[in-house]
Amino acid sequence: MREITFLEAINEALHEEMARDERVFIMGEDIRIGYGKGGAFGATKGLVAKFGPERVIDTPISESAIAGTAVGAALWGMRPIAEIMFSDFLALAMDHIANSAAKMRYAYAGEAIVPIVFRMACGAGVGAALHHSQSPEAWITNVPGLKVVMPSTPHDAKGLLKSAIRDDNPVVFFEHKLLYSRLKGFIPEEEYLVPLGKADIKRAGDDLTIIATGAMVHQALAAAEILAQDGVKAEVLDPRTLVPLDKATIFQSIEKTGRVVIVHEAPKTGGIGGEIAAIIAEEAFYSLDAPIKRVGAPFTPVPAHPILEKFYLPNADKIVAAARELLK
Amino acid sequence: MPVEVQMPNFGLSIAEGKIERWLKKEGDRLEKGDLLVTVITEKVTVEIPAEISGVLLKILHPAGTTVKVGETIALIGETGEKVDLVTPSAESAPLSTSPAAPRLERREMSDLKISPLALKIAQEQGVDIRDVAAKFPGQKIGKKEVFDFIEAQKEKTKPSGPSPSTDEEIRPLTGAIRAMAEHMAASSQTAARVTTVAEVDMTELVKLRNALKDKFKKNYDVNLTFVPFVLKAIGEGITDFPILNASLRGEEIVLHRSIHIGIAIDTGQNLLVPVVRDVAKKGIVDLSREIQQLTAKARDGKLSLQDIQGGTITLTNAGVYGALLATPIIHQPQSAILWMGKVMETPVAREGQIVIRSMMYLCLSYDHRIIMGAQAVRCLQVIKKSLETPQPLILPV
Amino acid sequence: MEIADKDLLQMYRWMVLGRKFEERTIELLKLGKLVGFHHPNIGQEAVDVGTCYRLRKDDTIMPTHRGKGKYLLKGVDIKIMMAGMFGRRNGSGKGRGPASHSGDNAIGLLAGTGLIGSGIPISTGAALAMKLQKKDSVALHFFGDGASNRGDFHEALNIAGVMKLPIVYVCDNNCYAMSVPQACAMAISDIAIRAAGYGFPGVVVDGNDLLAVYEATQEAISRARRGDGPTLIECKTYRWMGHSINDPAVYRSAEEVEAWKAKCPVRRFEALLQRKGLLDGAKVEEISRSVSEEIEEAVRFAESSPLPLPEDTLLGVYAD
Repeated sequence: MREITFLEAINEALHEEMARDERVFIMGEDIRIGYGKGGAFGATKGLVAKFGPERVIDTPISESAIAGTAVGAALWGMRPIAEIMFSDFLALAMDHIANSAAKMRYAYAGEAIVPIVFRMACGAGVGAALHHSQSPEAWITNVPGLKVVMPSTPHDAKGLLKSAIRDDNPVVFFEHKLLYSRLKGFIPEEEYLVPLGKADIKRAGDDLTIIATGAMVHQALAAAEILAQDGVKAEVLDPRTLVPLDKATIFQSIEKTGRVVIVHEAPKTGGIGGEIAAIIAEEAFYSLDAPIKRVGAPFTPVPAHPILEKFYLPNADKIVAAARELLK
Repeated sequence: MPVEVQMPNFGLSIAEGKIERWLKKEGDRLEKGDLLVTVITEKVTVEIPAEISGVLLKILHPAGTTVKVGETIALIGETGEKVDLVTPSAESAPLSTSPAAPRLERREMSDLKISPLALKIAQEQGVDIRDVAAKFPGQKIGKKEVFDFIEAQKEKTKPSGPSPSTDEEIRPLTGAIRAMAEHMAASSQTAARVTTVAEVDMTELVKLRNALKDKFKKNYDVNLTFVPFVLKAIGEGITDFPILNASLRGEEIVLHRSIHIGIAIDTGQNLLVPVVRDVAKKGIVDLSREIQQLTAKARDGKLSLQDIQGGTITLTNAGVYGALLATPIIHQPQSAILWMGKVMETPVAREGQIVIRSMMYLCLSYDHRIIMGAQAVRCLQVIKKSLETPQPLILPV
Repeated sequence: MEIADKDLLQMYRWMVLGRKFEERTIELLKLGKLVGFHHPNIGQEAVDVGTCYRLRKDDTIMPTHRGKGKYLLKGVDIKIMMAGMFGRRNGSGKGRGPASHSGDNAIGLLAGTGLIGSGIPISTGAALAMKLQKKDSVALHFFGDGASNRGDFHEALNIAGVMKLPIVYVCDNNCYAMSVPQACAMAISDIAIRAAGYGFPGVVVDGNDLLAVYEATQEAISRARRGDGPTLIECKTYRWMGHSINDPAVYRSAEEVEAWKAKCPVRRFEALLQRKGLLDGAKVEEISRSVSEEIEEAVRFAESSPLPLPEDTLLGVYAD
């Protein structure tokens, strides 16, 4: 085992998959050099030196065409990775992600594949304010034809990105920018994959299930530690893939604990927590010993000042407060 | 005035039933005939229907409790009727010790904070959730409260007895064993039992069976044994000697016109005697099929009350276990029981020669209060001869 | 450019097929037999035939919603195309996707989407793939005057220009984007000049002159195959009917329409071949009959093709 950062995990996955399959290439803004390392955050470090400029393409600022050309290249036998620098720019690429990539296989009546990974850096907590901090997964989890992935650890990030690149469907891959260099984790020496569509129990417990995504997984783990001091054993469940969602693992956990708090960084209103809560209420009603609780950001844009951003973001204390209400 | 639902009298020798599952909950509206509760007796599982239409006001004994025949287990009436709780006997667990609880309106129910899981568990355990809520007033009712409630109920009914010695294994006399103890004792004490034995040369029947068994499997999907032939043979015997198919009822001898033969089946936990009805009217194929079906039902625990009632004479086949001879106890209220031993290759004398034939002992116990020895012996000979020349038995009826 | 006689005759047959196919489509639409939208192409046949004649199987095209001739020229079986237009289970799109945005990568037919102009980056992406695969195949992308105002036009042509991708952009400028005339939508008269902004040639061509379209296209294709990058070909043409059959086209004057009808591309090419002695009355008649029969066979095939099953809705969303 060795310890790497979340960013290094992304980078390793890119290197390994580009070496493995020459049809894989990557395109995006500033990915060759960026601020010196490759990419705005350094995720694409070393790629152009190893694989050449043909397979590591710096594009103009053209999110729509980046996504659209990725679709065309994928239809014509390549396996593109399209980097959208900030997940907020998903809006610009939305036509080609939701209308082109997601629906192309259906338009071909099942006789074409669109093997693209749209990678984007999401999330708040670094003071990047309104337009560089969003978690917009809810904008696309209602679009059939896409898969949506949100890893929380270096181990999962590497394994899931490799799986996403090998998947024949268009995958939107959210990487939380706060985790890039601040989160370290252990990975095996040998090659490994993490399957899409499978949740992970990050911490086992009997009294309460906390379903958390992305950076919130770590807030949930911290909350579980605090609750443990009260003698409450919380189980932290990380869905890892949002579409398709691993319902079986969720039901299994709730069957055991009877109580659930769902937490995500995106605003609570209209967030994916609602979809998960509805699924639980619909299919696991009689396992519930208490109402379902959701924790999310308030219904505002991400504010600029650190004081405001701290107020905005869900955290361990807010999760603990929600849990304690359930246990009352 | 609410109507009492009692643990029914199943007849035979069943004294009590265990409530397996309530199929309706308190407050449910019932139509006459709606199935109310599943009860397990030592012999069969029975579903009890509601005898009247109304509202199931109160369940007095939850799932899992054993109740004597005749005891009240539920009350059916109309919404709002006062439910006067009869003090239950010491052996069954009381559900609530509070005085007459009025039926709660939906509005009142919504003031109670009850989780879906608590509701589910309460229903599964046959517990009234309002009783749980009453025990924890003002609190949210969850799984914990329901289980606490159930535990508290159990504490009240734990039996106490002498502590066992270390050299003894103690088993309670309940269920099937208890029923057997009572039945066998009663039969031995009432019937004047005599047993007569005949030796049957089964060689021809063995040949006939071997000749037919593959065809039977292929065409009718039945395994052909000797039993259907024995049933037909018994039919022949009874036709000549109808007193073997009778019962002594008080001062009257009741001769049964139809021949319904009970076949004793040992399932391992239980001795069950499902009845093959109207043997005289059925052919070998139908009898084989019916025997196969009843045996399967017995093994799966799926026999109904009808399946085990109404036998007029019984057959036990202990030959499959290798037994030679027996003096079987008559199955009340019948007057005769036939017992077949194992079929074995035996040297016998035929026309001055020693030959090997397939021989079997047939033992007939009969009630000498109404059956004379000669009748029994001659009936047995008819059965024997019938089995020894079996071809006519396969003729269509 | 030297074109063999048999090619000229073939091209003529394609022109007649293009015209008659659209006429039959309009009839079928009015009878309510077709599924989805179909936009008549009458008057623009030369653009279809001139650009798509003799493309390689591994060249790609992405047609617009207008001009089914392109599908047939690229190799789609006319019966399958028609069955798809009838929404049948064995036709293009199989009832799940519309026939007019169907794809078949085996013959280089890329499916677009229902958004005007969104296809431009997609074809550009195919051209990128060809370049990465070091093939000398070419992508042809079709779009109208309206689409050239989309942001995707700018973004995609910019990428194609800077990366010198093997793509030919064909704009059929039929003067109107639905009901909006070109003069309302842009300050320029020739869309072709926009190519200069992306660093590659833009050429204007009489879109009703089949051989002119053919020549310009072949040259652009050669350029692309050589690795010299994209070309934008603007075909000036006109549609005789409204945007769709429901459009009474009140935004155009009758005189304007008549003036363009006089420049009918089919009649022009027919006259040319007659002058060359390749066509006479009898030959014209024969080809006309043959084309009609081919179309009717396709209609018969489509009418007897199976309907999709309701559960087909759930198929082909994800790849396993």
